Amino acid sequence: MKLATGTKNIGFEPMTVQIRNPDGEYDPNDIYIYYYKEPTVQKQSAEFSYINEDKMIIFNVDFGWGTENKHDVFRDNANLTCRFSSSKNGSGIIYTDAFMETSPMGSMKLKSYPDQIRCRSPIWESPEQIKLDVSINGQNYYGDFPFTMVDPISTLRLSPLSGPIDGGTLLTIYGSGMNASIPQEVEVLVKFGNIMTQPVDKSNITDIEWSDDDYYEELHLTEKLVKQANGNWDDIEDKKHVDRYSGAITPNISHYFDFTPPDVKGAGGVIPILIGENVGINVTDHRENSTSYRSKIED
Amino acid sequence: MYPGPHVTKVSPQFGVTKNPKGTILDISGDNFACPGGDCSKIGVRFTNYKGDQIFVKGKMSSSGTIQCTEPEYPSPETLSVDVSFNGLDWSNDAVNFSYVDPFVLGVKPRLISPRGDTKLLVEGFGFAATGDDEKQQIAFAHDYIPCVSGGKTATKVYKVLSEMQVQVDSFDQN
Repeated sequence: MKLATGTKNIGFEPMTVQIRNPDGEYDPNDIYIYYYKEPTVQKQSAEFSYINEDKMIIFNVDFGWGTENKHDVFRDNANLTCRFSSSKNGSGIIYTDAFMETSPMGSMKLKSYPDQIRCRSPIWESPEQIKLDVSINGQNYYGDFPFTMVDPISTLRLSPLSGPIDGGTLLTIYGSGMNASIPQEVEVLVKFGNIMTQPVDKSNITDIEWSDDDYYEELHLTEKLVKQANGNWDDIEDKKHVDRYSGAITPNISHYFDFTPPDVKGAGGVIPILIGENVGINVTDHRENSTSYRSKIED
Repeated sequence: MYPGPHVTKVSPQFGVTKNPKGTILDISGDNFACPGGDCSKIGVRFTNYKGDQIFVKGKMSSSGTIQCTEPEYPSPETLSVDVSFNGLDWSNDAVNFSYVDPFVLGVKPRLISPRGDTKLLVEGFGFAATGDDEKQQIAFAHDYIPCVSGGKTATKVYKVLSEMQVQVDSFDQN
């Protein structure tokens, strides 16, 4: 059925939905709807997500900006959504909000139009192969890309729990999911506070299964710390399969504090240790007036 | 003593609130007879859910039904219709007449697929499930003029979800 107004095809003109009343007349209104030209969605930036992370996923998209798809119409009316569909369970569908973005970020100021859709992966129940697609209006989806939810990445224990600020201590990290990435070569990084990252040498990851006794022995814990470990016993119990990674070298903390921030009092203290991966986001360089603001490609 | 009137049907069953076309309602039923041949007291009563009543004059048609002008009413609602032949004794048969005055406040989604597989949720008020596809239609309009397809107004039948929501398929763009 070819829709037309007079003799002209409706194309991408704004339209309204009019409801017929019992007298057979159509009451006008000013609520506009628009046909869009279907976008070309390329495969997403990552093939997997740890089931316990909300990972940034980027789709490069040809929106067809121009006379057909107008950016301001999309900005005002789009309902961008990512859909994650379980292959095991038909009703296992999770939707997450998505948004349009320019690449590199910041180029919108230079009159570039969006060429990406970004969303985050949801927390998933268990590892499995799923389908991923994206929608402009929250109803019609594009993509149907394979995506894998893998074992959760987690840090359960560290050994030792302290070291000199000069660094160089070999750290053993006990956790899960360090070898779960797809493809296997995807880097897993260890981050000490906000200081630095170092990639995990995956050849140093071993799989272990603990008994109660092994668990305490393996951690080289003092009696005092065993008490602390007991508090997290459920974590261990839930994860029969645990990875042990020996190889992260503690950085030189005093050296780090020498340059930023410069006036820190002392260099010791507790720092969080994070394990995870990088999501590459391009950011453009630009300056505004005399106030310089500069950014570059970062983690 | 004579048997009281019973209303079985009102036609049409739906009308617009302001009745700009002066629609005449045709009410049929049983025991429709003027007492003593005096038909001057035929009345039709419309009662809303609060018990408010509107009375209009009726007249007997040659086919034995009662006819009256659909009264104007301020909002889309359903009213029960009763008749009386003496102005005192009324039928009480819960036969309804509905005022339908669809008013659109919003449509979701606002961007629609050219394939015609987008289901539109139209929100507003004054929608009613008439049971008659002819009366439950939408059209897409450009500049307030309904679009055409094959020389005729392109319409789709909508499904009433509630008095405030209807769902309808979109048109294929090409």
